[in-house]
Amino acid sequence: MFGYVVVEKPSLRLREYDYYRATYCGLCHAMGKCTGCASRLTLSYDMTFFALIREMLEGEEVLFVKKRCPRHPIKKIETVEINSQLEYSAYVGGILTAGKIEDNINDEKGAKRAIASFLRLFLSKMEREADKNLPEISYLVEQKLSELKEVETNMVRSIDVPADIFGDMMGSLLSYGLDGDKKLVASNIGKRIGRWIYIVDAFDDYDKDRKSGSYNPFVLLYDAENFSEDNLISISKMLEAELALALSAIDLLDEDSDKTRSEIIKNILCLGMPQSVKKVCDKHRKAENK
Amino acid sequence: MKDPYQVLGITPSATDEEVKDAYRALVKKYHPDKFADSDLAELANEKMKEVNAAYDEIQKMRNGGAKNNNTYGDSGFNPGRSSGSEFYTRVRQFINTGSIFEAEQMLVSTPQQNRGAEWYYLYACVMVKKGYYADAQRYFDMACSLDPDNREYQNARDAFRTRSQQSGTYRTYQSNGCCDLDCCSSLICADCCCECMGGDLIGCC
Repeated sequence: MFGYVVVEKPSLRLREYDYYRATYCGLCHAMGKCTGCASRLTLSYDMTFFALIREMLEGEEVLFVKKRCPRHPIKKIETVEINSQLEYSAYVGGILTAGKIEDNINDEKGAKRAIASFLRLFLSKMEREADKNLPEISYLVEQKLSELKEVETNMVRSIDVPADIFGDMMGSLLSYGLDGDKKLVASNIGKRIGRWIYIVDAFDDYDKDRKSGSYNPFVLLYDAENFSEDNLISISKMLEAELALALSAIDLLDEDSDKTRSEIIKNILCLGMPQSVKKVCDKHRKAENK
Repeated sequence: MKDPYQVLGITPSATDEEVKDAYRALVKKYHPDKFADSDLAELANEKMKEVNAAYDEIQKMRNGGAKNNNTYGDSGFNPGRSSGSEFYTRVRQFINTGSIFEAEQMLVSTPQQNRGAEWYYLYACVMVKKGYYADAQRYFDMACSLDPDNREYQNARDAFRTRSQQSGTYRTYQSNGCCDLDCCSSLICADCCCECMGGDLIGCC
């Protein structure tokens, strides 16, 4: 989807790396089962993280099995056995991808639009299956994306307004089917991570959107050739605060019985995601020094 | 009631110092400042109470009932009473009573040319309540730059900054892995490996 929610590989223990990989494979298998073979090509690290958090929230005890798959036809690979959280993540991933493709068809011109139209056709089974199995989620995503669209057309001069819409959407997706305190915590985690993703994405696309004139709150607020060092620091701080709030929310959950899983999640939130922010900052610094 | 040691995540054999450390770590984890203005405040508060009760219980068991009082107040961003106009007094009342929507409506309806430092300050308070921290920061800054001598605005801005910095510092990622092999044994290992391959790292063995 966006590709900012990643692990910081050098800091993972081997068992954590194996676990992460197995979850990634497991999600891929779940996608094959739920939303069709073609949809497996849209597998992402973001959705793997989503699946891990869902598993943590539900206290899912994962099973490992060895499986063959088209990408590894010879050797059997250790994967997480498909469970209800992986299936849920597969459907949610399908709905989000379909939303994004729809968006591209409406916004882009020329080749990009043609590609999006082709993808929609190619992934039509994914869209159909996901909509059929989780109609309320599909409706919710549609609602939130159209809210975002409205913010875009009105050129709202705020980072928080669109980020909050995206955050609310992630909060609802993450807390779906839970109740009580868990629901509250899950929607908070989702909200913070959703906000973080939206802000990083806008921050990353600054130059591109500035040239093309697409909506981007940073362009409206900072409108300058480049970010100053002060700007970069304050934006990083703002993003750090989102992650810190997500971590505080996770602290309110009972400790995950699966230590490996909680370590991976910590790695992503404390190291992987800040690393992505750093990469974007470095990109902007480089642009300035040119 | 739950076993107090379990609540603190330690065993009854823990030393007093370990009890204190575990307690401090949990207080940090559930500290109300981290959840101020969040809908998680209540949940965190409950956890905090549980931890306080467990700690008190252990203290009581260990030294025969020395009472430990921990009260953690909520530090929200509530503006004080206004010295200014009727209008802002009412906005402040709305914010203090939690009627954020009404406060925002009133502020938004103020025409652009009538917006002074106080407007920006109160709007920032509303943004904090809504969790719009990036906007809040901007509006606090604007309020302060419009009225640099006002203590109230400055205090609020500084408090907000410190808070977002506090919550912005990560706990360091702890990896208590298996690097306990001391340096000598690794050298000996390396030597053995070399010898296997016909070489030698440490001449004498």
